[in-house]
Amino acid sequence: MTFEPSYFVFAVLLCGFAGVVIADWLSHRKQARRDWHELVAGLSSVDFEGISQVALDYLTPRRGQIDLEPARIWKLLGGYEGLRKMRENAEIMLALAAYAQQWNFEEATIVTERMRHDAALLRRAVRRVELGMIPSMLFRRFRFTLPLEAQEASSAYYLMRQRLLSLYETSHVCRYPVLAAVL
Amino acid sequence: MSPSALDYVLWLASFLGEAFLFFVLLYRRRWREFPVFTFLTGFETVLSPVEYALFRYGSVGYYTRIYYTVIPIEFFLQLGVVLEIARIVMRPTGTWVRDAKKQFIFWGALGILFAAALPFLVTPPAATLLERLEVRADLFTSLVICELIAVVTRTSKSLGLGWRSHVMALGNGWTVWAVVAILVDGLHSYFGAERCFSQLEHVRMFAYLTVLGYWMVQFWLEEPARQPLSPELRVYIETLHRRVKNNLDTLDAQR
Repeated sequence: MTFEPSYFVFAVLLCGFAGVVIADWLSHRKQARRDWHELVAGLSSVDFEGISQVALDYLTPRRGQIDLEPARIWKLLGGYEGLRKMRENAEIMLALAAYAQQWNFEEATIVTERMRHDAALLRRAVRRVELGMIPSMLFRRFRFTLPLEAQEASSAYYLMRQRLLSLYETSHVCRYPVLAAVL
Repeated sequence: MSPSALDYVLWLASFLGEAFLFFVLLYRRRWREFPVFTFLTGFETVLSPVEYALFRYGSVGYYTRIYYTVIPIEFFLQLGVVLEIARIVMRPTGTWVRDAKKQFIFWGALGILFAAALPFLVTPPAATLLERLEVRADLFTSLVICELIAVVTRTSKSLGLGWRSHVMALGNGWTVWAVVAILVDGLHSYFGAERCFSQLEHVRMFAYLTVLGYWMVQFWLEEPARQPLSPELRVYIETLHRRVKNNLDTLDAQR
């Protein structure tokens, strides 16, 4: 029996697929077993001052609401790296909200569902930014709408953070300061 | 090819394992949360002695007919178990979490296309077209089951959905068994129905028996009690889900 190229491709695809499934499952198990402190330690540091400025400009329109320039928005959020960190933190914040169900079941259940809504908006906005960055990278041209999508992401992140902190303020006052300091 | 003593031992062990797991699922009332999995376990428990009796005392033709009839039934029951896991994980409050269904259907459909294409990359060495088709069909079904459980895992992870201990145990065992199944069926595609067939099937059986043992222990143990959702909270969450869906659909339509 000869080992033809098609068998090689087949073996690579099959082993690659099995590898992805195993890696995914191990990472899922690892995430499911993390305790509160490990979850908090997994949060990346973001410039919340900048995020807050951009989000409030979007959420609470005031006079001169178009003063914040797209390039400034992009800079305040830390560019794509900042958005990526927000998306990662959003996953951990959801897990932290779900964690609070053991102390304050009803409120935590509702807050988790609301945060899931915010997280869906955040993910969608970041996905659009990622799609928009492809032509920007190809043609080396700054796309005007990118920071606007990023502004939506920042407002979702801002709401998630506020909801989570308010939940901990009423559910577990001892852990609230630690969480507030990290977020 | 006549079965060896090891084949008979593994056959008996799998029957005993399935029967005991079925007993655990009924006795500990796990069937309420996992009706499809319980049915599949009961089905396999009945099937093993029937197939053995047909093999030993019946005609080859009759055994073969039953064997091929049962394969699609088992496949659809296995699909049912994956959907059962998806239902438990992605509807934590009784309604599908926004995005969960969409992501599950999209990635599931993509994976089925991959599973359909991959077995045709190679031609399994086999005497007849039917045997070749059988090897390919086995690989296809293993890939579909493995891929769907991976989609459930990935979707739930991206949506921040927690798994309680019983469904986690079912998912753990199912993933291990599904990965072993695709590797064994992949090797069957290379070696064909003759070479290394028994050895590879023994690997599959050992993996299956290990998973059965793990499930027996896990389903016997109680999981931590969970506070039930009050009817008011359930109504509130359902309304919230509807509103969220409408809001996001409106946003999508405006673009």
